[in-house]
Amino acid sequence: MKISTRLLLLFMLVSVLPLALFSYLNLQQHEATLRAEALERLSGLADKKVVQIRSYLGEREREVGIWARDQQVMDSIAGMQKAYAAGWRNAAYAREEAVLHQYFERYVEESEMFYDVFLMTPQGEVIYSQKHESDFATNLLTGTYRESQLAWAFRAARMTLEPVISGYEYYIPTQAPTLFIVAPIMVDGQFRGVFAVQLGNELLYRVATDATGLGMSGEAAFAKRDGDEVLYTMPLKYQADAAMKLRGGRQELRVGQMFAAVSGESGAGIKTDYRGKPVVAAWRFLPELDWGMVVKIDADEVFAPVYQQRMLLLGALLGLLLFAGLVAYYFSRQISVPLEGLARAADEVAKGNMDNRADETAYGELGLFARAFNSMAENLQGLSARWKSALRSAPTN
Amino acid sequence: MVDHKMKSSSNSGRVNQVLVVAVTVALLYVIWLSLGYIQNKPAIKIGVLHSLTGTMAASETPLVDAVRLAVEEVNQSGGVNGAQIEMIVADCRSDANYCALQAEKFITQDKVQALFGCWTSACRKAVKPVVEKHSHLLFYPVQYEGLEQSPDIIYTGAAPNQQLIPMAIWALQQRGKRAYLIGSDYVFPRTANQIVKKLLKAQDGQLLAERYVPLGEQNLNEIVRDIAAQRPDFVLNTLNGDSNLHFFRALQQAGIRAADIPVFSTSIAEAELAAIGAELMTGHYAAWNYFQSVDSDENRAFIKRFRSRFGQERVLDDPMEAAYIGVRLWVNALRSAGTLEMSTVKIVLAQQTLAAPEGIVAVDADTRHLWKPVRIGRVNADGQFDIVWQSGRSMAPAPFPFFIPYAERTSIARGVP
Repeated sequence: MKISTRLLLLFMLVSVLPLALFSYLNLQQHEATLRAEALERLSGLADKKVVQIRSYLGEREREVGIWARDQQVMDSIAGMQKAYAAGWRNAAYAREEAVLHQYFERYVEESEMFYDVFLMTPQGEVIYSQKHESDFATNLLTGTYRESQLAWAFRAARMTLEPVISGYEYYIPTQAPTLFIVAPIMVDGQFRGVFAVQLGNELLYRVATDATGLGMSGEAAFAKRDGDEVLYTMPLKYQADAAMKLRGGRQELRVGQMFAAVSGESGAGIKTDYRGKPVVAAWRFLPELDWGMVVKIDADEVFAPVYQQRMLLLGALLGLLLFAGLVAYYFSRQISVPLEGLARAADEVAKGNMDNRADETAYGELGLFARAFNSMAENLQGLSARWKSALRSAPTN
Repeated sequence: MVDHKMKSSSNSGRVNQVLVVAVTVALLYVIWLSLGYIQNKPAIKIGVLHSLTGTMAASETPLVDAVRLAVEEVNQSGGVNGAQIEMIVADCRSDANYCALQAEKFITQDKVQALFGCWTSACRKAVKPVVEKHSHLLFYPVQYEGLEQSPDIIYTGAAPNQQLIPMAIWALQQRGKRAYLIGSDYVFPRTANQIVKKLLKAQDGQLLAERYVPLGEQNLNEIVRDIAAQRPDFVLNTLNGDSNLHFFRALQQAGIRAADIPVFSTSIAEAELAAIGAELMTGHYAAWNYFQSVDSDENRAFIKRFRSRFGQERVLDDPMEAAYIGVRLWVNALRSAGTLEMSTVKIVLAQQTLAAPEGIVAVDADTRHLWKPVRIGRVNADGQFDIVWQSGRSMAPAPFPFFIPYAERTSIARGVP
C-alpha cells in the first residue's frame, strides 16, 4: 500500500471515525431523550384530557342529579303523570307541559349544552319531552326505542337508583349520534320517575377535540367498541366526517392502540394512527363514555429537531471528510514526492548516472535524508572519479 | 543485523502486550458500567392482612392466593421498575382489632409500601384509622355497605349500587314485594339493611322481618321456622362466614325450596359455594361483579393461570378477583409513576384503568372506588352461577346512594339506630 493511501486511512481512523461514532451516539441519545420526553408529554396531555372530559360530564351529571331533585320537577312528575294517563292531548296536560317548557327553555334553547329534556314514569313511559320528537309518548321498556341508549340508561337508573350516563350512539328520533344523562326522581323517599337530558353534540365535540398543547399535527381521537371493531365517535382532524363512520378491525395496525384503549388499557408509544402515519401517541380508557381515546402528534413533528440535527451532523461530517482527505493528501505528498525523488535519484545513481542529485528542499528528516543522500552520491562520484583516473593512469602493460 | 531484528520483534511483542491490557481494561470498564446500570434494587414490600383462622378463614384464605398470583406474575414480568415485590402475610384471626395491630406493625416495622386486605367491614373500619394516621395505602377487595370513602383506601369490591341495590331491585321486580332480611350482627349487614329498607320504601316493597345473629352462629332453625311461616317473596341474606352453611342446611331441612322462596345473598360466592355444597344452594341467587362463569378471554386466561399455579380443582370468585386486580392496579400505577413516593402513587392510581377478568374496571378519582360491571347469578348444580342479569358495561361506583337524602345517609353512616 502506498504511503498516501495509508496516511489517508490513518487520518480517517484517528479523526473522522471517532467523530462519526461520537456524533452517532450523541444523536441516538438525543433521539431517545426526545422520545421519552414526547411520550411523557403526551401521557400528561392524555391524563389532562381525561380529566377535562370527565369533569365536563361529571358537571353535567351533577346538574342532572340536582334537577332530578328540583322542586319543580318533583312537583311536575305527579301532575304530569296523572294528566298523561288521561291521554296527553288534554288541557290539564297542556297546562303542566307549558310550565315545564318555560322552565327548561333557557337550558335547551338558549345554551348549546342540552338538546332535549325528558321525564319518564317508573314504568318507562316518556311523558314529557321538550322537543316532542318521535320518542315522546313511547315506552322505553316495550316501545319502538327500547333498544336505544336512552332506554339502556333508563333501565340502568331504575336498577341502581343512581344517575347514569348512557352510551353514545346514533339516535333515530334526533337523526344524530347523541348521549343521554338520566337520574331517578325520588319524592318523599319513593321512586316516582326518571329525569333525562340529551346532550348537545357541539359542546362535547369542542371539549373532546380541543387540541391545545398538541402542536401543529396533534389531535385527540375517540372511538367506542362496536362488536369486533372500533368505531370512531368524534370528528377527526384529517377526516372531518369520521364521526360514527370510520371503523377498524382488531387486526389492523392503524387502530391497534385504539383497540387497547377501548379494552381498558392505557399506555404510550410510537404507533401508527388511522391514516397509517407514524405518531407519538398516548391512549386511555374513558369509563364515563365507555370510549377509548388516543392523543397523538405526528412523529415527523416530534422528531423534527432530530432530523435537523442529523442533517447538520451529516453535512459537517461530509465537510470534515473532505477537509481531512485534503490535509492527508497534502501531507502524504510532502512525504511521498521527496521519497519518490530520492528513489529515482538512487536508481539513477545505481545505473551509474553519478551526476544525479535528489531535491533537497523537502522539510525535516526527508530534507536531511536528501542531503545525506546527495553527499553520499557526491562522495561516491568523487570516489568513482578517483577510481577511474587511478585506473587510467595505471600502467597498461 | 541479527541483533536489530531481535530488537524489533521484542518491541512489537511489548506493543501487543500493551494492546491486550488496554482491551481488557476497556472491556472491564464496559462491564462495570452496564452492571451499575442494571444493579439490583431492594424488593418492594407489601403487607397482606387476611384471616387464615377463625370464622372468616374459609372466605379469606383464597384471597391470599389471588394476591400471590398477581405478585408472582408481576415479578415474572420484570417486577416494578427493576425491583421485585415481596409479600408478607399476617393472619388476622377473624379479629378486627388484632388486624389493626398487624397493619400498624406492617407500616411502622416492616415498612411495606401498600396493604392488601380485610374482608368484613368491621375489619376495614378498624384498619382504616391506622392507614389514615400514616397516610398509607390500603386495597380493600370486598363488596361492602358504602357510606365511606378515604383518601388512603382503594375499594376494589362493589359499592352498594354495584351489588346490593340492583340485586334487591331485581328481586322486587322478578319475585315480589315481600322481603325478609337476615344477616350477621355487625356493621355491614346492619348498614346494608338500612339501605335495603329505604329501597323497599322507594319501590313500594314490604319488610316482613329483619333478623340478626352473631357472627359464627350455628343455630338458625328458629329464623328458618319464621321464614317458613311468613312465606316471603324472597329472602335477602347478609350472613357472613360459617352461618351460611347452617342457614341453607336448615332451609333444606324445613323443606323450603329455592323455587318458592329464593334467597339473595351478598356474601356467597364460588368459594363459599364450594364449602356449603352446591346441592344446598341450587336455584338461589347472588349478585357480584365477577363470576367464574364470566365469558371472556381475559377471564378464561385468568382461570387458567390461577389453576395451573394453585390446582385444577380450585374455584375463583369475586373477592379473589378484586384482590387480584388491586395488585395489578397498584403495580400499573407504580410503573407509570416511576416512584414509590406515596402521594404521587395515589394521584396516578386514581387514573388507572384495567382490562380485568370481570370486564373493564377504572378507578373513580373522586371516590377511589372502581367502575365495575354488575351481574346477578343463580346457582346451578355444578357449583357455578348462571348469569341472569348484567349491566352490560361498567357502572360508576356510588358509595353514597343518590336515592337516599343526604341527612338520612349521614345518620345511617354515623351509627345504626
